Formats: sequence, C-alpha cells, structure tokens
Amino acid sequence: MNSLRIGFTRGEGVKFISHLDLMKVFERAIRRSNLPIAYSQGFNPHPQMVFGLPLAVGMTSECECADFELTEEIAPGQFMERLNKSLPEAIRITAAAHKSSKKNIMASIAGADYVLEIFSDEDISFHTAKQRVGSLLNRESIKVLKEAKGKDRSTAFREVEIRPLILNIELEPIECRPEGYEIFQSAFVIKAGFKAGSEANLRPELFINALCEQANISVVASRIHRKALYVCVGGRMIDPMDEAALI
Amino acid sequence: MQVILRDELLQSVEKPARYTGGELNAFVKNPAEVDIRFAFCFPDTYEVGMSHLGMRILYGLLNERVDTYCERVFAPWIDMEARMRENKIPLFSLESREPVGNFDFVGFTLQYEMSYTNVLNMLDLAGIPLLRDDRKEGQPFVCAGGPCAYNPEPLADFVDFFMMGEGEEIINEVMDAYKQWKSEKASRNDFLNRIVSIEGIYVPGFYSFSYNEDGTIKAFEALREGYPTKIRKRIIGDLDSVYYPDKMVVPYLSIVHDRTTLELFRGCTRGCRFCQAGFVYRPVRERTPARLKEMANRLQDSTGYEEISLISLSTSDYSGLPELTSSLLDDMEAKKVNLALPSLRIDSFSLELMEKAQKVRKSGLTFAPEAGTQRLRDVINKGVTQEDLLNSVGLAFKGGWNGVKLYFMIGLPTETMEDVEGIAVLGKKVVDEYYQVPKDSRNRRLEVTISTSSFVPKPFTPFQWEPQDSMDTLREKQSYLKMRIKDKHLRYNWHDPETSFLEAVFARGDRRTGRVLLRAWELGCKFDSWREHFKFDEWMNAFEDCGIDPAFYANRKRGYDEVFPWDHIDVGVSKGFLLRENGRAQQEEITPNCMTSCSGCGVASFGCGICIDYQGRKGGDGDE
Ligand code: SF4
Ligand code: SF4
Repeated sequence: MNSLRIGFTRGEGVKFISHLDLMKVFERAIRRSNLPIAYSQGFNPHPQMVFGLPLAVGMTSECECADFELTEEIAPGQFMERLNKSLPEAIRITAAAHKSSKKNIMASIAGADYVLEIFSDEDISFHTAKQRVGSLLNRESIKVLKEAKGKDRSTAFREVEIRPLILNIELEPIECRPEGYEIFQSAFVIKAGFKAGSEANLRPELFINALCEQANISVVASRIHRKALYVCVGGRMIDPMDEAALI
Repeated sequence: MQVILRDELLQSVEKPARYTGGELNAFVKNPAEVDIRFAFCFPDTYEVGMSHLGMRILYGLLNERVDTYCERVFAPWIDMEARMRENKIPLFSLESREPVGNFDFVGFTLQYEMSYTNVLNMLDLAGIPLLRDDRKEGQPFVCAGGPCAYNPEPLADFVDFFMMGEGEEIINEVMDAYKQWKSEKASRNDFLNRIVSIEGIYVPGFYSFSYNEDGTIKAFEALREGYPTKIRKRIIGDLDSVYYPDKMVVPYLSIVHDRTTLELFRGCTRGCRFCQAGFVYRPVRERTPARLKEMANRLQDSTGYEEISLISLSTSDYSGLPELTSSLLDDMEAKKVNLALPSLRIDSFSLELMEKAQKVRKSGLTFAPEAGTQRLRDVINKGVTQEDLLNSVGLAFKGGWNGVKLYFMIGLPTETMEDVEGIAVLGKKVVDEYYQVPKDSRNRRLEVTISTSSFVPKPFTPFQWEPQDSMDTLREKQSYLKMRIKDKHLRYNWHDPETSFLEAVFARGDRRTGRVLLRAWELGCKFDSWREHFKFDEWMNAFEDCGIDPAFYANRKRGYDEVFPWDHIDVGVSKGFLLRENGRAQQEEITPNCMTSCSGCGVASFGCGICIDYQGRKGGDGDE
C-alpha cells in the first residue's frame, strides 16, 4: 500500500471549525480533486486518512499533518498541487512525502510548540511580566484545575500537575497587535514548548489559566498559534516530515 | 468598515463558524468595485438558512452580475446577539463583514410566518428603522419575497417593496432600475415609483385599506392613479434555460440539508386543498433529465459533497424519474456520492431504486395520508386510498424496511371524532400489515410513528375561507388520539397548537396585524419557531396591547364575498376556481390532478408548463 504524509497550515479563516468538520473539509476536497485515495469498505465509505494532533477550536497552525493511503502511486508534489487546488484558501499544504513507516501519526506525536499572544486589562510592564513568569517556572510543581466532562454532561474539575509538561517558555514583548486588540492595557508573546500527544499533553489554555491564577497576570484575551509538532523517534524529537520519521 | 470580531467573543458563543464566513465557493469581491450591494437575509440561523435552495440560487445569480455584490446574512443566535449588543456590533454580512445598514438592499426571504419577529430583530440589529416610513434617504431599501410574501400585509409597514413569485428575472430588473436611479441621484420615493410598474412588484406604501364596522376589509385602494391594483406573480417558463448555480457554498459546519440539491421541477399537479404550495407554485414545469444530469455533475465537481438529493414538491411525480435516477446512480457511484431519494410513492420500481441507492439502513420511510378516513381524504383531495397505503407499506416491509412514519393533520374542515379515530385505526392497520409478512422476510423491531400537525388555513387555497379549530378543540383531539393509540409498535408525536394558532393569524393577517408583530418583538419575541424561545404569553400580551383579537383571524369562518388582504395579489389561480374547489370539498368530491386532466384553475394564462398540453383540447385557461 502507498502512503503519503502531508504538512499543512490552518489560517485565520478556518480557526473556528472543529476537528470533525475539518475532516469533512478534507473529505470533500479529496472528492473534488479526484485523487486516488483509498476508501474504507462498508456502506458509508470514508477516505483513509489520519490526522496528527487535533487543533482546538480557535487556534491557527503552520504545522498540521496527516497521512493518506493511496490506491495508486502518485508523486508527492503532484498530490500536494492537486489537493491545494481543491482546498479552501485558508488551508494550504506545504509539504508532502512518501511514507513507509507503519507508525500512525496520531499515536506518534510527542511535543508541540506554540506562540501565545496574551492580552491583559492591567498595565503590566514587560519587566514585571518576565519576573512573574520566571518565578512561576521556578516552582517544582504547578497544579491547575482541569475541566473534565462527565458522562452525564456535568462538568467536574480535576487537579493536574503541569510543570513536567512544560519544556520551554520564552516571554517577548508584542511587536504588533492585531486589529481590535488595541483596547487592552498590555500584551505579550509567549513562545512555548509543551509535551503533546496521547501520553502526556498540555493544552495551551491550561497554561494560560496557570498564568492567571498563579503568576498574577490577568489574561483577558489570547490568540494561540501552533508553530511546530514533534514526533519522538529513537528518543529524539523531530519534525514529522523529517526523513527519519517517514521510514 | 469591517466590524471587528475578536477571538474571545467568538470563543464565547456556540458554533462560531456560523459568523465567520469564508466558505468554499462563497463569492469574494471588492465592495468598492461594485455599484450595488445586496444583503440577502434569512431570518433564521445559519444552519437553517444555508439549507434553503432559493437563497443559494439568488445568491449565485446576483453575484453573476459584475455590478453587484450579494452577501449572506443570518439571524445571530441568542448568545451572539447578546455579545453583539454588548459590544455595539451591528448586524454584518458574512462575506465582507460590513454593517448591513450600509448596503443598498436588505432583502428577506419569507419562508414561514414564525420568522417575522426575526425580520424585525435583524433590522433593529442593523440599525435600520423598523418602519418603512421612518427610513431616510441613503438608507437601504428593505425588500422581501418567498412564499409568505403572497400575503404581504402583516409585514407591509416594515418592507419597502415585495417581489412576488420566482425571483430569477424580477430581481435583475430591479437591480437594473436601481443602477439607473442611483446614477441620477433621485429620491427614495422616486425609485419606488420606477419599480412599481415592474410586474410582480408590490410597494405597500402606495396603497391603503379601509375597513367595515365588523372589522373586515372594505376596500383596497391605490393612493395614486396608475399604480397597478393587481400584482401578478412572476414565474419562469422554461426551467432548462434559467440560471442554476454551478457551484454552491460548502459550509464549515453541519447544516440542516448538508448536500447538493437538485431541483427537478417547480409546482405540483396534485391540488391537495390544504396545501398552499400546491396552488401558488402552479403550473408544473419540469427540467429535462439531460439538463439535470449536467447540473448534478457540475455541482458535484465543485462541491465534493458526499450526497446529492433530488428535491421538488412531489418528486415521485417527475416524468423523467426512471431515466434520471438510473443514470445519476451510475455517475454518482463512480464519484463515491450517495443519491438521497425523497419520499417516493412506493411501488416495485421505487423500492428497487431505493434498494440500489441507499444500500444502508432500512428505516425511515415516510407517508403522508394527511387524514384518517377516506371521506376526509376526499374532502382535502388527497388522492391516497387505504389500499394504496397498505400495499406500499406491505411492499416496504417485505423489502426489509421496519420503520414507517405517518403524517396527518388534525383540525381539517368537516373533521369529526370519527375521522380523528381513523388515524389510530390506520396506524393499527399498518402494524397488522407487518405481521402479514412472513417472519423470515421481515426485519425485526417494527416502529410506526404517527405525527399530527394542526391544520392552518392558508391564502390561495380552497380552504382560505375556513376557520381553524380552537386550541381547546385541537388539544381535545390530540388527547383523544393519545388515548386511542395504544399498540406497542405505535408512537405518537404531536405539535403544540399555540404555534399553529399564531401561524393561522399571520398567514391570513391584514395590515393591522403588523402592529402586533412590532409589539411582540418589543416584548422579546424572536426565534418563535424554536420551541425553547417561543413565548406564547408575550404574544397574547401583544394582541391585548394592540386591541386585536387573534381569533378574528384564526378561528372565523369567512363569507364568500369577503375581501381578503391578499386579493390584490394574483398568483394565477382564480378566486372562482378556489371557490369551486371549496364547494367540491364540502361535497366530498375529488378533483383530478393536472396529469389526468385540466380543471381550469386559471394558471394556463401563463402559457407554460403542463397547462400547454391542454390548450386547444379543453378550457385550460380558467374561468375568469
Ligand atoms: S402532493 Fe399535495 S401536499 Fe404535496 S405538494 Fe402537492 S399539493 Fe401539496
Ligand atoms: S390550468 Fe389546468 S393544467 Fe394548468 S395548472 Fe391549472 S388545472 Fe393544471
């Protein structure tokens, strides 16, 4: 069986669609493109595709990835070109490569980098913010409450330890604010690396909650962008499009 | 100026993708480069509005014009409306995200009466004065069309002009007139004066009503000589050559009808006497299978939808159905696309077809006998016999189907408790039919659902003179049925009579009822077709505040010589014909459908569709 892996971006225009709806977007784009993609058997055949780590509603990304099973050989470049023609502008495929590894992309994700733009209604200087973030990170343990939806749709909260999930954090001043965000007193950019995937995963919103509750930075608005995804191969964190991840 | 929607606002509402646009096949134009900006408004949620074919057609058609940018606007859901009002964000269009108040036209499609308060609410959110008399030079023209526009009077105080009938031609004529007018910088009133003579245009401000002491209408008058006093609906004679979009917007979130839709024909031959669509969309005009096939393939290639559905009023009457479906099935199979069949008349042909098309779940077959006894079915001219129905369900059960839905109406003219009981009896017979099928060829777990809605007398039907049952009577009939439907395989669903009561008021409402709409909206009524937001008590308060008795509109039997609020609208079907049909209903006599013979309803005067086949043979052009 032929397999391909693609890397793609999700822009502002599709940041509010759910992961499930994104799959539909791909399914329809595939049908429009007439690409030789394998379909599942059964009454309601679905194209055989697997996505990396689902992106939460409201985020943009430059590093999504997905694997496709094909029924015939096709050059990755051609695949990319044809699928790009069918996809809405806000989703662009940026890379495509043959893949021989049997490893499921969804199960292999191990880490992710994010760029968080955070906005506060308090006037906090960059210096102060840096100190506060720094002292938060100096702790050995950071516990936050995580929402867990029960079966009966009730919400319960559970305390989780997030310190070990934070790989690196860098605070920067914001260079230019997006339109509409001038109204906030202060704004910063945080470049963050978190553990991600099915084994251990830190959602950026949870980290922002920790900033609010434990670092004394009141975040009233935020914009989150995923910058990179990593898979773990032989103990190394590498790009899913890297040769080593594909074979 | 675009409105700004920050992420945290969108994150705080349900389904933010309702408000962000940018879908595949949506039109992207530079607003600065067009002459006309048209806000096409659907007074309900995105998911409901996007499912509406008429909107998709006119959206495409208007955007074919380089001088026009047509954009979509839906009613923001309660949560979004609250955030918009808090943040002083006006109603905006999905495409350019610009305030609707800056457009040239704000056009509403009126599909059901219970959306009227949303029309007012959207105008208010847009910052456009609700009353047309309060609008100033430079503000948008508010227009409306769609089936409910055939009785325009309840909305007459809010709408600058209505477009009657099918929109494909008339809307272009209006745009042309507007462009000319705009270049001459003339007054608002001047524009309305220019379009009033276009066939199908109704400018309510140019007419007035006077009333008798008993509250009925005395006269409808034009305020000036020269204004047409009969406004005739527009129709498209040849559906093969009329515009149909090659591409349709593919939403990012699931909508009600999330598939490619193919319109086979317009109109319906059957003339069920309660059915407004059956009269106002006459005559039947079909597309050819060749044209439909071409449309289907183009749409599939541009949307990539997983399903395509054939829609029309009574799809199984389509003369080219075998030819169309067998070739579509082949084309679509190759594209891995499902063909969704509409409710078909069941015979061996259609069963085989459904077998091929759906492959899957054999549940949900629907039938609409509408009334429980043959006598009452004759009264309403529903040409279905008990034998037909039982044969059909028998065939279906043998074919492995195990779910049947039966739709009925209660409160039909001349209905007695015996007729109501007939609904339960018929349901039981359907269950019995199942047990006639040998055990090994029937599917297990039978489920028959009986649903009743309450009859709403509508304009332009033979029952337009008839009263609606009071809510108490309707409830009595419902509880009687609940008692009579006892079989463990039978389930019973019913509609609350309150909604039907309000529908009955506004379906046949006159210009005075507009005040009630305004008051109800002031009292917080909106999204009235959504159960969780329906505020019946506030509606009753609104009637009281306005000194208007709703029963006068809903529950009153009209005299045959009464002037109706919609008498100045001409849908082609003559009042004389409707009167004759009313008489035949009382006599329990059925009238043949247009496929069998022409009964001279008057629509032949349009000179197209099925009527042409009769011309020269028989008095096809009516009796007036
Ligand atoms: S078959 Fe009867 S109910 Fe159905 S659309 Fe035609 S006239 Fe109306
Ligand atoms: S004129 Fe005759 S054929 Fe034409 S719609 Fe009326 S009844 Fe049918």
